[in-house]
Amino acid sequence: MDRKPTIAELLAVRDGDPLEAEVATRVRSDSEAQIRIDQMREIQTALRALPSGPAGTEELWREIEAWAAAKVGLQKAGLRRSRWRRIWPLGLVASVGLLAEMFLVSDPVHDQSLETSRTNIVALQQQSRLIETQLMRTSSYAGSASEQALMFRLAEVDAQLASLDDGHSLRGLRERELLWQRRIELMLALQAVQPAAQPSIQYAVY
Amino acid sequence: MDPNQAGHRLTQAYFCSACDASTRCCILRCMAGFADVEIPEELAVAVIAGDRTAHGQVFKLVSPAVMSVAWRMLGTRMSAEEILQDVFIQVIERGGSIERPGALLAWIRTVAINECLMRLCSPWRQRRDDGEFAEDQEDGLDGAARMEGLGDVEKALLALPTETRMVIWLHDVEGYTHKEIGDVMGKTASYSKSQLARGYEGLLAKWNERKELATHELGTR
Repeated sequence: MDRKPTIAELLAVRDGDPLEAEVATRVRSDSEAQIRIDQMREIQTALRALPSGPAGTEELWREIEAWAAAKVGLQKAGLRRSRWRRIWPLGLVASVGLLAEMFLVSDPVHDQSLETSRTNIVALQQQSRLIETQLMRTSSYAGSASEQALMFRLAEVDAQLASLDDGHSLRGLRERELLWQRRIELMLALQAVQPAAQPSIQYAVY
Repeated sequence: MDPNQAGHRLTQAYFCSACDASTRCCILRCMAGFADVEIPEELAVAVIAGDRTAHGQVFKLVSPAVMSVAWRMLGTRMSAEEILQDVFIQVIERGGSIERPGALLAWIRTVAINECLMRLCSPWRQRRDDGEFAEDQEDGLDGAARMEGLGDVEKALLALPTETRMVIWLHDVEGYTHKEIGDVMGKTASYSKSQLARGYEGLLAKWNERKELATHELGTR
């Protein structure tokens, strides 16, 4: 008794891919196989007719423009990876200073400070996103002790950010700002301890 | 684009329930892939020249297709939006390197698919996702709310393993060959064929289940 055609063979018939003559003959004479091929065509038609995704919103576009602008600004400032490797400890010191200021100095709450803090947070979020994208593209996680420690600290910062309420007090905003700054420093430190890896995906040249 | 032209023979059954089926744009919105998107040449020229207004217009035109691909490949809306952002940051940054205006759409599609693959393959992302996975899933593949309102084919597609789903989408919707899929995924054409077959095994089972259910419902009326 002839064996039943496999799904791979039926798909090859559906798609007009080359197939051994013996298999092709077997599929042609098998009514059940023909029904399955028709079902596969129906599924393909249904997949192609699925609703498209939602269009990107105006808000999303504004964010993209802001990120693009932030990246240009970052490059102009010369804050590339090599330079960050040298200066990230200074950032750490600056953060400690900011922390001290937060807790030791009683800053009068006024609109300008609030606005400055909000602007800073947006800039830090943009910078964080850019570095994360870069990490995603080039990271070669080797699982070393220092990498694990940094990842652990990063997870802590993320948890702290997630647990912050949406309060709009200056203190709350400063705390958020500091955490975003910390997140950036940790990712830069992670970049610095990882050996540079080539992106696994190569872009086609058009 | 004329919806009555070849390639736009959608039946009423395939209209998106969220759209107004009487309008022409509904037909275009209901097409999931890049195949039905057109970027006018003058707009593509402006994008290559770095015109920010043109970037915005192309964003409006192409974002549904990018979201479709990313959403179906990665399984969550949040991830799809991140891909959309990354793709258009690249359009702004690297669009000027495209030599032919006619190649812009294909370039965007390649970038979108590569960004999805990179996200799935990146050790950084995998490490980060370990902590975010449960949260993501609530909004993603397994969430009942997410599944509600989706068609049977989409539910069956989303229930497949990620790589299998990607192969099916690239092959059946985006029209990639098995060799091309093997190349972009760093695997062989045979791998792509076997994933497609494995995926269809699941899809056919669901498809027949649905038909049996429909037949049963008709019989009980």
